[in-house]
Amino acid sequence: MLKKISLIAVIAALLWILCACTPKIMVDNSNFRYDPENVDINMSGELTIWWAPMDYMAEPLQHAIERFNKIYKNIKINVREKVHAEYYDELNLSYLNNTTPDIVRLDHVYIQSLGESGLLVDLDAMTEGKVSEMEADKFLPATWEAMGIGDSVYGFPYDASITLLMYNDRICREVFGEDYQPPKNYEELKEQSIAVYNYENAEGVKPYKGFVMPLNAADYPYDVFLFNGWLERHGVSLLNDDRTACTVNTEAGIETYRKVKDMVTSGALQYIGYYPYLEESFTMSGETAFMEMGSWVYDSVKDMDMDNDGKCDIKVAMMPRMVDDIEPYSTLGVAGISVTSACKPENRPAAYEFVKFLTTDYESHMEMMTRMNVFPSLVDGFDDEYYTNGDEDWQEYWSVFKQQFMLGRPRPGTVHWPDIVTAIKKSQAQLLLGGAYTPEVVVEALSDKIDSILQS
Amino acid sequence: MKMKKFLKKYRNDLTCYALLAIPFALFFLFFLYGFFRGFYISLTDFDMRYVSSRGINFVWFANYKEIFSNANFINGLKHTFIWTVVMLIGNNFFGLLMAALIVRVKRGGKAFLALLYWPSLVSAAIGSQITLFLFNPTETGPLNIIIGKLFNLPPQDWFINEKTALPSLMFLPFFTGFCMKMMIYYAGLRSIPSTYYEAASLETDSRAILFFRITLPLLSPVLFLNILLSVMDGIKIIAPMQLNTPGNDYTISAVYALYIEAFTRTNFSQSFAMGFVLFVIIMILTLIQNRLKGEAIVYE
Repeated sequence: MLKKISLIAVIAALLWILCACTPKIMVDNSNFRYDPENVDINMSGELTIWWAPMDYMAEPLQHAIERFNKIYKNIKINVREKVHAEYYDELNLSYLNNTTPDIVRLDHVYIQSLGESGLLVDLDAMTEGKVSEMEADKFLPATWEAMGIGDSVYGFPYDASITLLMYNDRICREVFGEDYQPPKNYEELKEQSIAVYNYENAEGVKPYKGFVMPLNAADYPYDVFLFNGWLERHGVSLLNDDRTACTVNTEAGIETYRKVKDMVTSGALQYIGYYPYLEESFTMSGETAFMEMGSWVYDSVKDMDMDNDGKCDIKVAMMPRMVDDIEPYSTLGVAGISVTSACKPENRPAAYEFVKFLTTDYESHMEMMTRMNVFPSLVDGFDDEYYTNGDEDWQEYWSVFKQQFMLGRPRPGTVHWPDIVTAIKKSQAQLLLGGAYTPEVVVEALSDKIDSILQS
Repeated sequence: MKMKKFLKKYRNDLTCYALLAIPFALFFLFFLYGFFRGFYISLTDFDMRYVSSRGINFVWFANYKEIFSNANFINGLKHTFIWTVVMLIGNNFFGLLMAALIVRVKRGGKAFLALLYWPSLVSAAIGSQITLFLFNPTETGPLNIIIGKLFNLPPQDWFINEKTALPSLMFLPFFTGFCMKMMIYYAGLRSIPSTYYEAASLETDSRAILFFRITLPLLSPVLFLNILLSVMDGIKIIAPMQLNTPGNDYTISAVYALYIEAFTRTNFSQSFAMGFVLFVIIMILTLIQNRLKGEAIVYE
């Protein structure tokens, strides 16, 4: 009797499990519409925002929420702070577990990728085009464009950054003399890097690295972020405009790989597959002369004064040109704030207004950007006093950053981006191996691989 | 009345079931539900990249077919197999060797035991930092300095080269991953009564004969336990690959391939299919070992 009851209970439980197994993804891509011209400041709602900041980014967000709640008193914002390194993995998993927040801050590649997958709300469709009409002009064009694909807008741009050539002026003056000038093109970069690397001090020791760059970096896709800039400086885009084919397999693409290889074999470029070591060698131990870097390292390098001359050792210069008639582009980093498709339709107006406030309220926007030492995406913010005469130590730096910013090229966002990153890393590894892996072979293999990824 | 009779008759059974209910509920919640849900998802085309456009459809065993053309998974299986075999041999050899040596130490044996167990307390993250430090590909890397001085070789990029990537990753775990095995062997060796050795010493003085004729047979339950643990640890390996060489084709393991498929590519259905294939592999190996254990094991 008891055995029968137990058996029936087990069978019932298993049947229940099987019935409950069907994944239910709580994304809602219904045709919900919202008119941002008719805002009801008494609207209510409770929203969750995921934030994966450094410590210094928590406070400006809280201040922004306080300001927002002075206008929208009935909207409650819950902040969930996440571990930075696991942010994207956790977000992917959240869709499976139905724990996705209403609002997220994302790199633009993920915004385009998740947007294309239908996991973020298309704000353009939701507002019937009004978001572009009303808000686009407030932002720097490149940052706005990075928020969507085609007519779709999947977020509001937030923080923006650009990499340029940072150099250790102390090392360069020691090696080249007091009238030192940073490299303006590839040949000068290579020549100076070799000279720094081979420089022997009075004790007969070679104390410095020339140019460092992560290649096939084990830790995260930052190497691909920088490498994209190398391609752009040769006039090469990774993908075609509609992101259906790889466009690297050209003479210019091969030339990019050839130059990287040349830098490595000539001793100009010291690469390593573990990025933090490189950054430390530049920003902490001060043993590296050149590195492509962004303004976010300001706090790490501002006090570097190893020769005690009262000046910061680190200076900045525009990216060296790779080809005479092509501008010295570099990769533009843009993060945006998006509303996820897991946000309930009734909460989307509140989510829209909060995202809009967070990104367009000048005070809130600038408090965050100046704390992060990056650029605002707001047009007005770009000329803020902070970037002209706000910080005495970095006044001359920001003007160079601004020039470089105008030559920023975002990476192509696609759902296949993680696979493309892996393919590029593999191509870098092959390039460094040498032997049968000539730049021609590597580029052809990369192009075929990316094409097959895009067609999958 | 009937109920009373029923309760009286099955009192002991019901008590047992009530006590078992708690662990069973936990097992049900954390394993059985996940198991079936995972299996069900592996039969669908659940991929976050396309879920909004095409929904979730039942595709039967198509994922199980597809994963065997997934380069990451195939490479992962190959590397996992190599890793498992190498670690099984290395960890058990060193574990048994160390335990056998420590058992013979008259004084301070426990201090040696504690010292040799120490490396197992090092977290995987710290271990990966040590590996990265040792195999630093520049001329300042310790291993590159050694091969430069001894063999006049140029600096090697250990993790990029197909031939050196996996061995480089296996280097530290091979020599330091024996700690737990050593403890189990030590306990096993201590449990062998000295009377066997005293009796055998009347026949032979050869330590090798004593080891192979007495120690090893009596240690066979422990040996099988350690082999089983090594196989299971080996098949589940992910941390060294993920921490030291993420995305590297030459070191990727099967579990790491599964992780990438789920978290990076968001193709959950294929990831779960990989998980089930690994589950079946572990189950088959365990059954084989249990069968062998039944035939070969010697209990005192």
